[in-house]
Amino acid sequence: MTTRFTGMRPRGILLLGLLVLEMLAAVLVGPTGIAPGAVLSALGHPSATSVVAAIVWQVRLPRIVGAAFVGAALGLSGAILQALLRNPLADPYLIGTSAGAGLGATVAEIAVPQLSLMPLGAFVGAALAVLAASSASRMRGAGSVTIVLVGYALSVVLGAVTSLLLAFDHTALLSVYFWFLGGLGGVTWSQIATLGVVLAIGLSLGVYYRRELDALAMGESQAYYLGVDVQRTRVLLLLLAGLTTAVAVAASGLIGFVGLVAPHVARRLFGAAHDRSLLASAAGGAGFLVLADTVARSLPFGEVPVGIITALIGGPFFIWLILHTDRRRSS
Amino acid sequence: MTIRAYDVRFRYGPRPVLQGVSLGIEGQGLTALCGPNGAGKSTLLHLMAGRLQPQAGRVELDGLPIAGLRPPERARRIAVVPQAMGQTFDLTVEDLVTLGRLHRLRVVDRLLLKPLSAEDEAAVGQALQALDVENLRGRRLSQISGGEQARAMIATALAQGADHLLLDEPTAHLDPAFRREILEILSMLAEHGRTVLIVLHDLMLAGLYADRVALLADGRLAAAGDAKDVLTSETLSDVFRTPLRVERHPGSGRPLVLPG
Repeated sequence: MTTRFTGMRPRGILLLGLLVLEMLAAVLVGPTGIAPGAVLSALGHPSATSVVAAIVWQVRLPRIVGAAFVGAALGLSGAILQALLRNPLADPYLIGTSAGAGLGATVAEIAVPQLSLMPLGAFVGAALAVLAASSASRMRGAGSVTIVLVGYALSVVLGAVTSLLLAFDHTALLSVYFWFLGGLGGVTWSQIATLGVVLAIGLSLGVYYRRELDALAMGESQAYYLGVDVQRTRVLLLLLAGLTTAVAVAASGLIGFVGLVAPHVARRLFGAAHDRSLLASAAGGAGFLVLADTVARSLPFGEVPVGIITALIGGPFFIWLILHTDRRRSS
Repeated sequence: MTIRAYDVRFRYGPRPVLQGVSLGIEGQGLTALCGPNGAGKSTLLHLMAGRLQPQAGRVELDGLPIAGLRPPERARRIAVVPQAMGQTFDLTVEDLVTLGRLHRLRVVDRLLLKPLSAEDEAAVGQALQALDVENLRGRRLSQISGGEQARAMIATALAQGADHLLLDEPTAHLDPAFRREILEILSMLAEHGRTVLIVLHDLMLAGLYADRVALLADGRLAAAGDAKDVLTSETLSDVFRTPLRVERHPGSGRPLVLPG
């Protein structure tokens, strides 16, 4: 019992501590250049009416907490899907979530542009796509490859419909395009509350099924023999990963790479067993997105969509990680 | 402690694999399931473990239909060692063997990120010890040899605590020394009260270690019974369509199958 956890608890606590410190540092950063002391004192007085308090509580904090929650949701969802689909290249968008969200957002923007219903449309679209993909997994004999292929085909079809709609509506094209790139500027406290609830449920269920994830990652047959109700668990975890992603996407648009990279880093640091790597993946996703968003909003030439930053930081880092891992394996 | 298949038939698409096989395994002892390639050995094993459903006939565990068992209950009574380890991520040996306890996890253990219960910890420790992989506990599966991986997989099945241990060619990719070692361990487990069914290609190993042998040929049971009764040159040469002779092992007196 001691061997199992030696070094893991401290590392987990260290990771959480770093995340909190990072978020604190991120609050100090912003275009208005408020002195750190003023920011910290505003943090202690949420109900103050000063301009600084307003900036800290209504602009910076929702954005940072939102980034952490969205990042955690993507990290969790990516970790679940990589295990479930037995595919280290899986990311939260693989099962049609992103294409569904894109179509949903597009339909909402074209139908009622004055209401800015893109987040709601994105959620509905993503959720419907997840339901479709997971119903494919219920078919007799459907394995993880089936789900990946169905998700891919679904994405292609939904993407084509989105393109078709946007080809005839150039006004919507621009707003949908920028929404696609992802951004955390518009996250509200009420969205954060929703995200928080969904994330809490997602993390609890993920922890509950952590050993099933280990078993399913070894293949359906082995999971079956270890006593896992394969069909039921798989559908439940697919829905969990998909709906968590849908809520994240509704809040922030399509932010790539977080859900792909975070599980890899978590497994490298904490080992492959989901006992340790699942929560680490969520925490890592949170940390990564808070960092990327802070960079995105502090560039000298103005704010850049955060999805661009995650790809620009995440891509090279991922390549380094893969090459490094392979070298270690083969030696 | 009985798994019994009654006249099971199974086909993959149009290709019939099993054409009415009845076989029971019960009590302690090691039963080897042998036969030429494509005879339906693995299929029969997966039917008897409940993973596949026969298109006709039935499989019962202690008189109850195996398909009706809830997954944890089934895992508590039947453990299966697959042909090869399906590995996506690089678990440690201990992580793997711990999965043998999955079917026993209680809701509190699941919801809290706590280590295993003392009982689970003991079962994992015993399984690691029985297969002599305790010193590999913290090693990742990619860092150990094929023989050690096979032992880790058997340890996982052992940790399940099931009476029935079914193995699908666990020695297929191993050196002769590792094969014998695995079979030694399995026959010791069988002696200690477990019902072991093992799909084996190697007839020499079957002769040396099996208490009972079932021979499958073309989806039918060609012979089944005590090893010394089934493993005769006549039956084997007929089933495998190649001359084989059987002698007595000079030490143990067990059947020794040799090329004829």
